[in-house]
Amino acid sequence: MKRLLVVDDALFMRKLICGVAAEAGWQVAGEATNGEQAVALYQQLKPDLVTMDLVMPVMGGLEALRKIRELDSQAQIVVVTALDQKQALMDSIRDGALDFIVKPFERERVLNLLHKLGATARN
Amino acid sequence: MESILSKAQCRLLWMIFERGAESASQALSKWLGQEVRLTISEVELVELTVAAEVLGPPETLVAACAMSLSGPLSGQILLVFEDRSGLALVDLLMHQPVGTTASWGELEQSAAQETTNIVGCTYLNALAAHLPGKISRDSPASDELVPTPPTFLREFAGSLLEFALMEQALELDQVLLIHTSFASSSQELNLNWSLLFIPDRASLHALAAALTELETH
Amino acid sequence: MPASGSSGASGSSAIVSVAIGQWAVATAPAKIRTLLGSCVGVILHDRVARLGGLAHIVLPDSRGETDHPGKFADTAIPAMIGEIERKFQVKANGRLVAKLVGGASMFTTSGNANPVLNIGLMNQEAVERILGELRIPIMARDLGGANGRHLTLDTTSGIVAVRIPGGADYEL
Repeated sequence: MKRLLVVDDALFMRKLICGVAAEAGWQVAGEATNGEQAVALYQQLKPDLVTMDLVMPVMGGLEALRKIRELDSQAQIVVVTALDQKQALMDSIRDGALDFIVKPFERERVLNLLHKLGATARN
Repeated sequence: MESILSKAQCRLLWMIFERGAESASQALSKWLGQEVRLTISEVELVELTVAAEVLGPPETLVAACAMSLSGPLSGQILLVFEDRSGLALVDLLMHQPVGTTASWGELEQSAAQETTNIVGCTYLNALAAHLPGKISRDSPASDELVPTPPTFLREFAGSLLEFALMEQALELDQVLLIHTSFASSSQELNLNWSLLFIPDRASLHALAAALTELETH
Repeated sequence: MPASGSSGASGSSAIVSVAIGQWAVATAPAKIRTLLGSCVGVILHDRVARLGGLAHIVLPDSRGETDHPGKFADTAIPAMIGEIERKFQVKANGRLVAKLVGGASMFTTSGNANPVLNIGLMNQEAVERILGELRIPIMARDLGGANGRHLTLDTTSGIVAVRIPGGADYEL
């Protein structure tokens, strides 16, 4: 079963994403509330995918994205954020994000993404 | 004393914020699964005493989520509601009958915070697109409008406004806040919420300069 | 009536509300109330004459500005005392005592130094200095913190009742 790491400082959003993951047949391996936790948990859990919020306390999502990609150049990270501004998008893509999903997202969008990634072998 | 923003500049600002409100209306409707509309009241400089009453009777206890802003536009964004209408928001998000949620637990606060994040960011996204380009000569390489994660608090409406407006009051006799109200076509939904934008003095000065440039072109 | 001035009440069960940057004086049994955030409330009371005043002060120093006397510590306090003496025909010296409330700063997630926090301290310093010069003793201080305060001065007793959001009421 595919494993997901959910990163968002809002409990409510994490629950939402976990719900979609369950529907898509993914297991939630862990949840992180800031970028620092995200990096630590990634190393520990080695999930198949990470959903990454951008605006978080302690360490933001862009920095966490960069750090995780440094640790693992194959890391699959999808940015999920309300901040739909040019700089954020460009930085995310440049730093290796797989996709950039704007909140509030359509449930379908995330479901489709998880189904697609679930079907392909990790590599 | 000369006003920091002229009436014409306030009008321009109002138009720019209207775009933000349109964007935020769409995002919030999607988020809630209900058609809601955000409208901006007039953008104007007012006396502190007037601003202190913008949320109604000052002794009213309200719940609020606050985000600080940095970047070309800095200051505060506040989403404010009385308990009943705030908890109604939570019921909507949890797809339960309005009136189910009775108190502000961790999940409920988080739901309000995330709503503030979404509405606030959507607004900022639109502002980033429509604000005059050279809003600040000292602006960092990025023109991003960056918020902090929202914090949840409960406070007297008047005290909340005093806190938020104090930075402007340090220098200005009249203060500027941009007040957005919410409406829904649904009968049962009493959206007695307010979204407040309170720029700090640095932003007001920068806005004044940038809007002047805009006017003269 | 000046924009940032006062209202005097007496003899009735009136409750006078004081807005930001204003003050009010009253005699027993009237009450005077205000709602504070980061501003400092200066309460004055004369136990013998049973009268008092409350000023909702925003900044420490008027720097010569005369438009809004209630907004600044250096103009509001003398003006309030002057009104007490004029309106109620009493010589306030020697009998007035003070209580200070407010000067809170709302928690924000901004990591930057907070200029408003400094103002709270500067207001407190200015008020203490001015009251010291006028030889008015400060009987109680309830300053700082992170929440608003709703206060009501009872001009009969001099007691200040404080309400805070989500917490227990108390008296000074």
